[in-house]
Amino acid sequence: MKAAIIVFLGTNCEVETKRALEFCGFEAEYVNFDANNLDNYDAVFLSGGFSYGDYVRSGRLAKFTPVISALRKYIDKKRGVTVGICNGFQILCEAHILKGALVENDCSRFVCKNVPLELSFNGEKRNISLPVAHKEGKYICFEDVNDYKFLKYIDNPNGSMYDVAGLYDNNKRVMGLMPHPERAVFTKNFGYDGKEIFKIIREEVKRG
Amino acid sequence: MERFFVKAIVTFKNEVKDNCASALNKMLKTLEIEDSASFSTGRFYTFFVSAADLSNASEKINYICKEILSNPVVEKYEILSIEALK
Repeated sequence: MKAAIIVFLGTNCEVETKRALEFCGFEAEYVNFDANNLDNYDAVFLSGGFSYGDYVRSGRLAKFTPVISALRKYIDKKRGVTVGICNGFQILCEAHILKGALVENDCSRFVCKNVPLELSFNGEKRNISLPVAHKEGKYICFEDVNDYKFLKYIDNPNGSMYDVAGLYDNNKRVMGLMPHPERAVFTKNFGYDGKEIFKIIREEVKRG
Repeated sequence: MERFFVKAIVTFKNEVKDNCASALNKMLKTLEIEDSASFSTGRFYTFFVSAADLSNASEKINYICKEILSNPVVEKYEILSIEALK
């Protein structure tokens, strides 16, 4: 299973994402922001960081890069699964690939801690715990997105509407989440529940 | 082609909580300066555009404000002025 990790200027979680993906059985490689074709990959990851310094808004400027145009074609063709983690989720929302937008946390502070979450997949629910690290992680959407939610905060740390921590697009081929699963895979990490997210992504890729 | 000087401001929509404005409102109240300041905060931009006339310039400016400077899901923009340069 081949995965692309898109690297923008300011992305800073690509190394740990690659390590985690390889640990979870993916063959991962970096793809630069100027790439114009993603068809070789079964999954595309937009990892965390501060793309383009988060200028204008978090994730805003990355949406104008060639690789996002290529990503739109990749999604239209239903070639594989797209996953945005933290800043990647913000980019997907700014590009209107996912519904809603992410704004400053209600507490106005950078929240960096392990949070309890409810993971829903294939009709089953289970509680997991993953680290979050963001200041603009409050999810806002003025339409009901409960049907698209796969990850929910149990103790909402940022004021997200509908307690959204992660959600799908209409076709369930695009996933965005604020918590960092790549930081909860190895022994020295914040637990091992990140593997659950990568397992779901593998299932989604296999589903085709 | 004419040159136009633009002033625009981007603010949150009314239904989105403006944390900075809330903090300022509280501060003014605590300092007993103003009880209901009702602040609203945003980002102020000035820039230049080149266009054949005011109508084309206006179209270009609206595109820049909508697609680049703001996110219509949570923000609104206002073009404060468009000044034709001689």
